[in-house]
Amino acid sequence: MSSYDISLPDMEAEDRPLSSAALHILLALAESNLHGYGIMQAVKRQSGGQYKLGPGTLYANLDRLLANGWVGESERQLKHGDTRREYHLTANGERVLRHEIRRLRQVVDVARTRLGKLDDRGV
Amino acid sequence: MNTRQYVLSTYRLMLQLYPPTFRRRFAAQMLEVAEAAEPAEWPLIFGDTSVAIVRCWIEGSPSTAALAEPNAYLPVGASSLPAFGFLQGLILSTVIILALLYTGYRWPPPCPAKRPIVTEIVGPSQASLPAIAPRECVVGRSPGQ
Repeated sequence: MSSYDISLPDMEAEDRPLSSAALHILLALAESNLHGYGIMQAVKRQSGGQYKLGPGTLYANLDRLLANGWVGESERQLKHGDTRREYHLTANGERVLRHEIRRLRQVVDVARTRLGKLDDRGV
Repeated sequence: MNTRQYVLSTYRLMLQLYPPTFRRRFAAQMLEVAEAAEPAEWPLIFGDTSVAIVRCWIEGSPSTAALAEPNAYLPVGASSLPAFGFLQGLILSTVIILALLYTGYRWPPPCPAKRPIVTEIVGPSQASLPAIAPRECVVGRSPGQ
């Protein structure tokens, strides 16, 4: 499976774990509607510069997120007459994001418990 | 043309390598991203895009699947021909091309070594023999025959 796949073959799309790129894109759009470069900048900011998203990965993921209905797109009119395509989080996308965060919280809880046991043993 | 324009032109050319349906939908936006990017981000943009192009062809994408047109290019994954079939075809065509190149290089074949070459003018007593052009390769005949 590729690193930016947002799917596993035998599961419902909404139950599958999200890739890092898809998770970061949904998180960025949870803050505000953004255009492509804005998403890249937001992902860099929210990850403290640890995760840098390139345009190839960004648009491959946006293509899948749009197809799943988790992200929507709209045209925004700029001052000098040009238009810019912006992306926003849909209600479905918000539900998937909340589901993913719950899943990650469970992982973190298990990790804390197990690492705590290791600390107790003095490992 | 300054460096920035040169880089953007190169990136525009690179975007042409995407499958047509994906390119029509996203290439303009990807170019806008490259235009907005700082020079320090160019290695990320080029590296990430080149990997993404290959993945888009191999794995396909919702755009390429949903908007496929008649005669459109198909990603390898969406073709009825399996990837192993492509590999076999590639190996077979390479072998054929190499064989043709080798044949072209060795054609016309040289005269076999250690075989006599008739260089003498044939005398009247041997006029009944067929005429032989000078330096022509004659197999199985010696000057004494």
